[in-house]
Amino acid sequence: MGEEKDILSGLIQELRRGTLILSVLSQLKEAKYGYALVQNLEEKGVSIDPNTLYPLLRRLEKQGLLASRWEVGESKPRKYYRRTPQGDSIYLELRAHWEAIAVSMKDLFEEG
Amino acid sequence: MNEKDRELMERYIYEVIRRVPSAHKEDIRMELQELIEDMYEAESSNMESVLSKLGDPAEFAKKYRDDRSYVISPEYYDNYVWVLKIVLICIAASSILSFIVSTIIDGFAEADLIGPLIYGFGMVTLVFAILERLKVKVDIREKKVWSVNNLNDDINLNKKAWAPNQMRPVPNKKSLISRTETIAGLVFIMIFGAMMIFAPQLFGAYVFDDGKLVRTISIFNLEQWPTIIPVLSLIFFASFIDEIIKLVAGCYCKMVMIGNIVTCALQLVLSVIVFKVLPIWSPTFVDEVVAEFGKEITSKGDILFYWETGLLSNIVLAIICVATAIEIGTTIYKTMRYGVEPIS
Repeated sequence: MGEEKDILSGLIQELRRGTLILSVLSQLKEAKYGYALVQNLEEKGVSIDPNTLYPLLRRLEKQGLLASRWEVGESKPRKYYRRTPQGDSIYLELRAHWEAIAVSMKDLFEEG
Repeated sequence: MNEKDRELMERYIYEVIRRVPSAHKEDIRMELQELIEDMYEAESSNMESVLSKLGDPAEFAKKYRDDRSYVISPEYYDNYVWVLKIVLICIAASSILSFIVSTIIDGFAEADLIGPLIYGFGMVTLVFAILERLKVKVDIREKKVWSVNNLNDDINLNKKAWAPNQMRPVPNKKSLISRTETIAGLVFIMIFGAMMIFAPQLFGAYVFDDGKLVRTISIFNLEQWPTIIPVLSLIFFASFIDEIIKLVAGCYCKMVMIGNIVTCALQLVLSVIVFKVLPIWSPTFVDEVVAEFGKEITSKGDILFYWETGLLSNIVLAIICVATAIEIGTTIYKTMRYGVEPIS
C-alpha cells in the first residue's frame, strides 16, 4: 500500500511541477514580493513550498521572464518580482497552450 | 524576534548560502531573511516551525544551484560511454600487450591492469565533467554525420535537428569496417608509436652476455632522437586519426575515404622527411656491431655493407609507399563500390 502511495504522490508532484511556472507567471502582472506570492497562490488553492518558489523566481528572472528590484523604503528591504514584456508574451502563449491541453484532456476523460 | 530565534534564523541562512555560488550569496541572504521574517510573522512567531517548513537547508541550496546533481548529464552520457569504452579497450589491450612484450624482452614484467584502467576512467570522466561545466557541446558522432552533409553542400539542412534524411541506408555488408580490426589497429599504433618514440633503443642488435641482456645497439640515431620525435609523433597521430574516423563511421563512406586520403598523404610526406631529410639511422651502428661481434662487413652480400648509402631508407620508403597505396586503393574501391551516403 505504501508503495502505491509513493507512486501517487510522485505522479502528483510531477503533474504540479508542470503547472507551477504558469501559476507563478499568472500572479506577477503587478510586482509582488516572495511571501506575498506564496500566500496569494495558497489562497487560490495552489500550494507551493517557499524552497521551490524562491529558486524558481530567480531562474525565471535569469531567463528574462521576470524582473526584480529591492524596495528599501519600507520597514525592511523586500525583493519585488514582476513580469517583463517578454514574460507577458510568454505567459499568454503558455496560457493558450494550457487551455488547449485542458480542452483535450476533457475530451479524453469524457471518451474514457 | 528574540535572540534565540534570530540565532536559529542566522544559522539556517548560513547553512544555505555556504552552499550557493558566491556571486549570489549576498542576494540570497537578503532574500531568505525577508522570507523567514515574513513566515515568522505569519506563523505566530514560532521559528522552529518556520524552519521545519522550509526543510533541509542543503536541499534548499541545491534548488538554488540549478538542480545539477550529476557529474555527467544525460546530454553527455551517450558520448561519454562511447569514448570511455574505446579508451578502456585501448588501455586494456595495450597493458596486456606491453606486459607480454616486456616479459619477452626483460624476462619479467610487473602486471598492472587495474591501475591504468582506473586512470583512464578517471581522465575520461574528468574531461567530460569539465566539458559539462563549461557547457561545451560535444557531439562527436553527430558532428561526423553532418560534416558529410556539408560535403554534399546540403547547407539548408538544419544541422542540429535530427531529420529522417540524415539516416544512412543500411550499409552493404562488404562496406562494413570491422570494429575489432580497427581497435586492434589503434592498439598497434599506440604500442608501436610508444616504442618508437620512447624506446627506440629496442630496435637494434641485442648484446647478450651469459644469456643476460647487457645492452642494445640501436639502429636509430638516438642522439638526434629529440628532433625526430615530433615528426614521428605526427605520423602516428595521423594514422590514429584515420583509425578513429573508421571507428566512428563503421563503414566505408566519403568521410572515411577523404580522411584516409588526407592522413595517408600526410604520412607519406612526413615519412619522406623522416627517412630522407632527418638523420634517423645511427651513423655508428655498423662500427658498434663490428666492435661488439667482431664480424667484418666487407662482402657486398651483406646488407650492413649498404648502411650509409641510403638504400635502407629507400627500401623502407618503398614499403611504406606500397602499403599506403594498397590502403588508399582499398578504401577508394570499397567506398565507390559499396559505400553509402545519406540521401541529400
